[in-house]
Amino acid sequence: MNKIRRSLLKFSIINLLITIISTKSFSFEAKSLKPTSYRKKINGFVWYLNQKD
Amino acid sequence: MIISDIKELDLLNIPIVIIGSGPSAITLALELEKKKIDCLIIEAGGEKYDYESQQNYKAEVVGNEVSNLTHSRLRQFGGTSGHWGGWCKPLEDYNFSNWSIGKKDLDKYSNEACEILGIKNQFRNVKLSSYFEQIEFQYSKARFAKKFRNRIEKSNYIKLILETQVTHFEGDNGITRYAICYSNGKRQKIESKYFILACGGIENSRILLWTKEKNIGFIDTNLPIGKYWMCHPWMLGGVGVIKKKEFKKILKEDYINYEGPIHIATTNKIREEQSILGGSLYMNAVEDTKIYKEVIKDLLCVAPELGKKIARKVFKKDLKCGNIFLQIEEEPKITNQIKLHPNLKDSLNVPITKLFYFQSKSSVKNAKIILENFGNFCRKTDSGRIAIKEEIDNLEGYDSLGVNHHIGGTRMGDNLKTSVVDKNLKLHNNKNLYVLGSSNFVSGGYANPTYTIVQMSLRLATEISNKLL
Repeated sequence: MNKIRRSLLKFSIINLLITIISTKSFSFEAKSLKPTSYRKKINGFVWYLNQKD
Repeated sequence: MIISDIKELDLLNIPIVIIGSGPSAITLALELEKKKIDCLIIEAGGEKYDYESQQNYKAEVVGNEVSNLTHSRLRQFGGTSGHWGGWCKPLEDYNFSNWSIGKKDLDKYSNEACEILGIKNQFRNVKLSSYFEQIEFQYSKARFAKKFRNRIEKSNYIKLILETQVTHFEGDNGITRYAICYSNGKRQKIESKYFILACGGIENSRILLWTKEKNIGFIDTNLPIGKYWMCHPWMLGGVGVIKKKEFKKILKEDYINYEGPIHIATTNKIREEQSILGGSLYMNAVEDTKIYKEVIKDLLCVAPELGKKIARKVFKKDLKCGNIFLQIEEEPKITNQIKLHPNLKDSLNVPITKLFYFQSKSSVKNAKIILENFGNFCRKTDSGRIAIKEEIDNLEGYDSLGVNHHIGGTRMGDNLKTSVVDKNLKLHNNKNLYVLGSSNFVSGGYANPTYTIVQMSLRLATEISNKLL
């Protein structure tokens, strides 16, 4: 019984770690993917601008 | 000394005949004069611009537009320096990677070249980022005819004859015996020890091609005469605003502060990493206020907050606002070439030039990469914002602002299949015929060619005088 409990606990810890790591890395990736620049066309020219512009 | 008839001369005492009287020819003659060596300059045109004379420069162009070849080059004493812009800059070190000589071989002559051109020997390159540097041009006001006429007239060593056109050369066994010319309406043969062909980036090839046709077997038929012709693609790349203050912050004491356009060039790193040829971009020193208004109006539409900030600064000295021009290097292609026209001839019955010139697709790609990277640099460092012309951004093409630099056609090298002259500018398999000018360039770089041409002339003067003295 104890063996089963222990392996269940191990499994849930691993599961938790996987979730945390993947969420963390996803958020990290999402942050790095957030565009800081954009291009906008007007009167035959394409402007290279910052997001905050 | 200016002479009116070749018969006045004792040609046996003139070991060097120079054909052409532009910056390369005059520089060479002046340097030979210093070494007390006699030479004769033969100029096809007169002292002043002449419409009729210019008609001998007529040419047919196949492919993309090239600035009018009948009038953009000057067939007169002083050559095209009679109306050039005067922009001077040496080629970059990396431009010489396929040449038979290195930058240092020409830099030896920098002081004399600057003296002749009447400019300061200062061409700073300061690093803005790993991809870009601020560069410095010098602007020459030298009109060679005006500047050196009196000196040539009084010279005991330089003889000048005008309105005498050399059509071709004659010779045998690899020795050039005569320059065949028409003077005072008569055909004349000029004999000399050394002949220097210095007639510019188109005529050099035309005269050699005509020599090849008139004297079968005299010039190696395999030499690629007229081939690998190039220019500097020059275009309106876009518009933009540049905050000089931010540039100064990046460059600190290295900032090149002088009256004139702001020039930015690519570094070798961007050339290598992005597999492009080099280029330079510039914004004029003074722009029309109409252009300022147009650019600010567009900026207010695409980025209102930034637009308002820029609009407040617009007439401050620290802000440059206007067109961004681009002058880039062009790849040498064997198919861009000068040929003799099969049907049309000039007044002396010499076939006119038929120039095949097709813009390279890689030029527009290079222009886009340069502008895109510069746009990102300005954005990231907040030193300005730029907009790229839509056609270039879409890689559709570019409108040429003019093709005024004629490069290649008699390129320098060791391989007889890909070059026409050797590293000392001597025609391959010929003992005494030299070719001088931008036609010898193996690559064009982004810098205007005249400064390098003057350096090459000084180097050739050393080579020839070493043979004679």
